[in-house]
Amino acid sequence: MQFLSFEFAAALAVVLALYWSVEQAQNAILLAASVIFVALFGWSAVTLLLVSTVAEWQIALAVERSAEPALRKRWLWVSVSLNLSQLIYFKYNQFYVDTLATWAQAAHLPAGALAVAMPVGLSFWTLQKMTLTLDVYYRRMAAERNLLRCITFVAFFPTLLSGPIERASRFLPQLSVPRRWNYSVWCQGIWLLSLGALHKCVLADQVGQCAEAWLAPEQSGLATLLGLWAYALQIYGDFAGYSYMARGVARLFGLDVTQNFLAPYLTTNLSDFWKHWHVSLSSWLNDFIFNPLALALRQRPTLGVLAAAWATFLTSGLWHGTGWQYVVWGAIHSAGISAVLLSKNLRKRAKKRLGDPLWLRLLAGLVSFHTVCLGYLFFRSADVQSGWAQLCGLFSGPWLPVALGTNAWLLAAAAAGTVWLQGRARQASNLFWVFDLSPWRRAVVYAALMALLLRGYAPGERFIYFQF
Amino acid sequence: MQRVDLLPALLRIARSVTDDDELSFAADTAFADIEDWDSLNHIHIVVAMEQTFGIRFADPARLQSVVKVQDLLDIVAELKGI
Repeated sequence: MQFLSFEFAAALAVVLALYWSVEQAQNAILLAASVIFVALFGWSAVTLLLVSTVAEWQIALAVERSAEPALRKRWLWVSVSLNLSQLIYFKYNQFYVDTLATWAQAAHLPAGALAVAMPVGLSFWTLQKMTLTLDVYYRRMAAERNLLRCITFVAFFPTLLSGPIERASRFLPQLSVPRRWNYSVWCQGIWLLSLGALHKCVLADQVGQCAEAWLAPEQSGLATLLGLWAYALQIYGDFAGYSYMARGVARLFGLDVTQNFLAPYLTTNLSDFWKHWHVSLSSWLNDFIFNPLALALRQRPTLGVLAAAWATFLTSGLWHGTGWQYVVWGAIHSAGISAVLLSKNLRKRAKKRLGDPLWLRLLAGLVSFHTVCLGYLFFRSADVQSGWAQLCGLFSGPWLPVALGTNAWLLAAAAAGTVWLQGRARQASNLFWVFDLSPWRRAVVYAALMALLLRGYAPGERFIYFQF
Repeated sequence: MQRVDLLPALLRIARSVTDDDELSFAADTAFADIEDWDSLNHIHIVVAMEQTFGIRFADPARLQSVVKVQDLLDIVAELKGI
């Protein structure tokens, strides 16, 4: 079921009506709705989600009961091992089933017996579920006693498919108190839903067509470059759009979900980019992979931090998928972050000498943005070879011709619109700027939004991040 | 060393690591609000603290739970028994 569909809107209206009319059963209604939502993709996904959440709940309680640091760590490793096994078994199934099938064929055994479909949203809800234990281990909260609350947190349907990945310590307290209906929170929810739809239908889906056309094989260098810019806008619009909508739906239930995108393309270095792009995943990786590793390797501080950065981004690459193109994507970002860390003193001295002029910030922003684009070149490729061929084409193939047509205007308008919206949304508190406008100006914004949505809406468009 | 000496000592360490004599923070400052306190400097500061204070942060999980400067100073005071 898609967020942008009549079926979803109708189902949401029914669930909301029930949720706000029976205050004592808010969590139970939310859980029932989430279970039905997951069941639409198959009951095996529901079973896995329920069983693994019960296990996580018990592990978190065991961590809290353990006084000895060594015992706490042992329970943490039980959680990590179980979750990692679950991810490897389901997410990387295709990879090892193909390998085993070759062996099975040679040994005349039935092939493909191990093949299973990946449960919906597994990569996202597994990381979210792990925070039930991690947040207790890192003493950010007491272990949750209420199983119903734990399952509601893990299965929460607005964020289940593609995040944002919530933290137990942030979300469970919201589920512990009855939620009261609030008109302004509802308005914010509707605004976030509209912003999300705008990002998805108008930005991602429209500019995505330019990316498809320009990034087709055998295109000129300029076409590939334009295609990469278009893809950068497409993936941002697609993913940020989903995140806005997830936040919007959560607000309709009176719940606050982490803001996942903070104007990432306006940042001036890769380290900053990752503090603004897919914030919920990058902060998860930072807190639970980068920091523990960097601390463990602190006897050689600089080398340790660089090793931790590489391990973190290669893990992030593998989290997205098993193909080597994701490893290359991770390596590009690792190298970029290493360069940012190692050039810190140089940049500091330059800043002291030159001040902080606009041209320098623009230059830094362009370098950072194009490093991200280089990563996209491999990220969107079917394999490393095709990504590499496109990269070579950028420099060695003919630079022209390029079929511009209306696509060029579309890309320019999308870029200008994105920069304007990102500037507006740069501070989380400014996200609701529309409510500060005078009534007639607000009406103009709503009318423009409506016109753009009606023009851009196409039923059945899927989100890129659903595949992960 | 007294408990009150910990903050000035930490400030000296942080200034030396970041090479910024104007760096300043108070006990209730959040690490996220200190501009120069990035991941690389954090690790260098932790190592310098272990050497200066003669301690070892044996439980990294505790170190990761710190939010404000005071949280870090509390761990140091506990490890030094002051």
